[in-house]
Amino acid sequence: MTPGPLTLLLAIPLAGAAAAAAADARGERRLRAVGFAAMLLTFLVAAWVWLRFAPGVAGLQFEERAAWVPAVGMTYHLGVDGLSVSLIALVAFLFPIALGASAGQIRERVKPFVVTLLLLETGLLGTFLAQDLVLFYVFWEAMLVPMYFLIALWGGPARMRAAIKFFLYTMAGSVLMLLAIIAVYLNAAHQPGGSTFDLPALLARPLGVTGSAETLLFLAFAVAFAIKMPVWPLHTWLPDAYAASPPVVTVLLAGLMAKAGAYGLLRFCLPLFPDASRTLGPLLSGLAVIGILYGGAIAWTQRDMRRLLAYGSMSHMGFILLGIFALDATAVQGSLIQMINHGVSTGALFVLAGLLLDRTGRARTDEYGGVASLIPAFSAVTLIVVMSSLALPATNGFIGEFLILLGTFETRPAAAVVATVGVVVAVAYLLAFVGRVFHGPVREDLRGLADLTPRERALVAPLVLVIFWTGLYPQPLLERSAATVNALLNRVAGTTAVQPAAAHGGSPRAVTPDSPPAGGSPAAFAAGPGGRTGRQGR
Amino acid sequence: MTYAVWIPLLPLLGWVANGVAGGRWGRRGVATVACGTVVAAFAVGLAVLASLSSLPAGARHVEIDLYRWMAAGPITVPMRLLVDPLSAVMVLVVTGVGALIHIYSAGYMADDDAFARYFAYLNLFTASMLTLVLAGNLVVMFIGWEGVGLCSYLLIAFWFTRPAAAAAGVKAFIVTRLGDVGFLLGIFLAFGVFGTADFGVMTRDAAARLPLGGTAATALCLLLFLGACGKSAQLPLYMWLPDAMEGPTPVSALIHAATMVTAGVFMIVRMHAVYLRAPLAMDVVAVTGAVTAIFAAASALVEPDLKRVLAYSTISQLGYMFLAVGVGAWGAGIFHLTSHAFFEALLFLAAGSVMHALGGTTDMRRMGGLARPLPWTAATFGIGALALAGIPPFAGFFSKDQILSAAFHRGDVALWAVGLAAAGLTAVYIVRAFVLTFLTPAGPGPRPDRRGPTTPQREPAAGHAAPHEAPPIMGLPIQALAALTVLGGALGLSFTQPGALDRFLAPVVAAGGPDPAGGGEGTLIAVSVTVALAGVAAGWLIYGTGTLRGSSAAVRAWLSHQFYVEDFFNAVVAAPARGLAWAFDLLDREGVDGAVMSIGRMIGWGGGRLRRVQSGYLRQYAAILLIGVIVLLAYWVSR
Repeated sequence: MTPGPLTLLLAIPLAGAAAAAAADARGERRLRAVGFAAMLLTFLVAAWVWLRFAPGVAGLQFEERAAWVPAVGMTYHLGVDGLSVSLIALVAFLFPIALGASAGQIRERVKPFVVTLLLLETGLLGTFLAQDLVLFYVFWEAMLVPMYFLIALWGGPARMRAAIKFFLYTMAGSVLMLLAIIAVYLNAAHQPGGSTFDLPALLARPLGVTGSAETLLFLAFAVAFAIKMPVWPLHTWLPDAYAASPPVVTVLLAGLMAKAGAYGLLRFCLPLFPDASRTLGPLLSGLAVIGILYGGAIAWTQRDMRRLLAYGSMSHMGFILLGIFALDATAVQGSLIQMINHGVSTGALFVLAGLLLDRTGRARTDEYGGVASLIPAFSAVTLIVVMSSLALPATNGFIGEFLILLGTFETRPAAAVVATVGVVVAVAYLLAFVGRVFHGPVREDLRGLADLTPRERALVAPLVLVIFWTGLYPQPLLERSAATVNALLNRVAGTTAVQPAAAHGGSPRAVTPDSPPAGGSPAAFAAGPGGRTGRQGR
Repeated sequence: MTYAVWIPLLPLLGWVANGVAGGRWGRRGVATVACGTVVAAFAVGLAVLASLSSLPAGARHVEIDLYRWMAAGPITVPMRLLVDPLSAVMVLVVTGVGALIHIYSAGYMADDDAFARYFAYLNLFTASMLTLVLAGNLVVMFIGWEGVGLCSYLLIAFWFTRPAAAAAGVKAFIVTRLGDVGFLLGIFLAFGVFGTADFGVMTRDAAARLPLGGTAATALCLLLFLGACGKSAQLPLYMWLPDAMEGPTPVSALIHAATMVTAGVFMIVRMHAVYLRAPLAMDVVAVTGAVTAIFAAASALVEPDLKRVLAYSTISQLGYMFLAVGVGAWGAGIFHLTSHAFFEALLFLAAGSVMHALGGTTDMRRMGGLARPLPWTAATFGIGALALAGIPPFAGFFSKDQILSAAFHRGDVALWAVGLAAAGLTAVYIVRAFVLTFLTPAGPGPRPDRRGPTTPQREPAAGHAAPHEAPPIMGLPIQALAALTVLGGALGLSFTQPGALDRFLAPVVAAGGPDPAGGGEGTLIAVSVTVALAGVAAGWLIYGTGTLRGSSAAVRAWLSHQFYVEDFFNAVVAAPARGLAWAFDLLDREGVDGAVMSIGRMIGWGGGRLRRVQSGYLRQYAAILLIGVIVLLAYWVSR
């Protein structure tokens, strides 16, 4: 096997980690430079993969396969499809920014920090690339360990407690998933083709589990992913971990690791256990709605900046969960784009909160006041990010939430109606944050606060650009996920045949000049209550 | 007609330029860029009007597709603009009045530290508003809809170091967002019904897809109307607008009088084909409008703050517009929207002139006798006041009369009577405001402002000692608006046949409007003019000469608390929401996390117990081993 671009994506940060580990620990600048170079190179490869990715193809692209442990059917199998290609790009995009923003926060033990960060990047990329259940599990755990150290070694006063809570909580979920993986493997022995951990191979034939067994396996996977996202009520590690980590680590926790949970639901739970996904879909939609309102309401009461943003992040993750289990093409596409948006916007919020903390050392929002008149450029950027976070149209957040709610409204109208109230809650807590920190009388002891430096401008500029680019022209992202999402939903709906567009006979879509994207409408639509044209008769 | 794209794009470029580099080219440069882009947009709007007029009436519906914005699943949303007579009229109102207010602002804000930020926001607002009126579907409209909301928030909270201003901005954003939940759900429902939210398609297919009076049509219309209530400050979501007066006065004129707050009316006219399928929803719109009109007029009667009086008058006049579209008088609604934009902006700018002269005072109890030092301001405010009161021949008379007569002819005599009563109250409160500001002898010295001391940034200071007229850069826009207020009635000047505006709008709203040529028009006009004059006379007798006296304390309390609507809202919505949030917070720490942590503690406790097994005593291990062997042997033997 010749290593392809995906192996390169894993090898570059790993090699960077090795290089940093070998470097002189006293040369801080050089260490950061090595780390940054490795991350930048990774980003270039990821961008190349993203640009070369063929939209309209449902299956895996850039596949790489090599024997790993053939005796038990483990393979080194990597690939990207519409679910993962943009997430890969997001990971590679956020890491250099996080490293750049760490300059003011990580002053000690820079060498292990850079090494750990690069190991974490390898783990995250591997999680999104792996197409073998065991390989996935290895990467899944491989990102947990560096994250534990990032919290425990560089965090704030409550770091040990938070790190252990985080580790045990997520580990508990992982163990359940490991058991489920083994159960799937053992079960596959009775199926034609024999035992394998290879995901496409497993999906190509009946899994052989039904009924309550399927439900149990679904739950074992889902709990692991739900803890990572996190889904209410499995979220209580989050505020502690988000607030105790250094802000740049929170960028990665909220921006990227949470996505691994949502991605796992789409990659494994939905296609492996379609019946359970359908039957348990309403339950998970309900949890999503609770999470949206509950997280938002609690965020509204918080005085600690990072706890406020942490609960807000949880609230936004609820939208992603809602979209996934709407089991509707529009909503799932919205969820995928919302994963990117959440990574960019929540990531940016924590980057900015970190820069502010570096300058003042003040964690509570009521210790600020009138900051907007002291550091106008910083405040303008924050305002833009806040607006994207509360889903203002023409920013990225709107595209995601709009598509999620629109799709959910078709299949689960009640959930969509309640969730839409969440957009008001988001305004309440985010504007409370802006109001306490940036508005109000100027705190005299904050005079002399420094505005964004040129280096910091360079860090936040890409984030702001992505916010507007996604908000105004999301098609490149939507195109890349369309075919995979349609195929996935067809699988969940139990039909592999694509429903012809004519099934909507006399559908009003026909009169719009813009034809719908290739692939037609998934059966999930026709199966939804009422269907798209169903309301007209009433 | 693709060049119509430049109408929103020009102010948007102004925003980018002033926002990014506004600090570099000085105040003159900032003002030139900001005003220039809006004036240029107005010019493009005129060109669009000309080329639209050259088309045959049936072809005056030009869709401009910029690109495919979103396509996911079976949903496609193009970035589409729609140029037709309705959007052309709105573009001219927004850019025309907008340009005048931009120019006025250059004088009004001349001494403000954040001059560039102010104009950047104002340009962004104009661009958003133009996107709203030019949108080709509900989703693109929502870009503008939320964009103007954002700018409203930013500009209300413009002097954000004052807590009252910051709080007012947040209140405006949250209350309008409450309405926007309805708007969003309306969009989703539109997709459910039509498979699209395109205005052209919805207008064409409404009759086919929505049974008359059906649930879908009613729900769709009421949901969208909820959004309109928030944006246009109708009951019960009006309470943000009086507080919005914390913003600079030109902002109040542009956003909170002339343009943004009329977005709800415009949206309903844009969706009129759908509303015609839901008579119940239209009744709700009309009743809400009429009740709001009289409610806000009554609230204005006792308000001591000049700007807040004007805010209530805006709410009240918006109520008339909703009354108009609720009875299907689309053209009258847009006519009143236009004439209101002229006279309400005029009133606000004149009030701004007063504040400029008095160093930022808005409390009428501290004013008085200003007609002598400010003759131009008094005269132009007077023109606006007469137009608001509905005195002929000013613009407000014609448009308000059209609405009342439409309501009467549709048989809604009750609504007509409410509108008429509100018109009488309007005359009373605006005469009161005029008298207190310009005529009565100056108040008993400066009183402490009820919002606390004015900070230097509050309003441009000019010193209370010697009030003087504003510079020409502020005076000229006021005079231009006064001229429009005097002449604007000509747009609808006709009692027996549709006026110029109606005829121009006819291709858009051809269906459904009541026949304007009903009988007894002369009587109706006589009645409304009599009521308006009676209101003026009453106002004069009460506040001018003091002849009429007497009011009960109870009535006064109800009026000064705006009938306790806001207190009720706070008690029923805001306070429980806050309580719920705190309850969730407690539940999260003690309940959900408590459960998790107690699981952890239980495992720790169990481990501690289990640890005793590992005592390190060999004899204990040997004993356990022995027991195990015995158990196994017993098992084998018994098998």
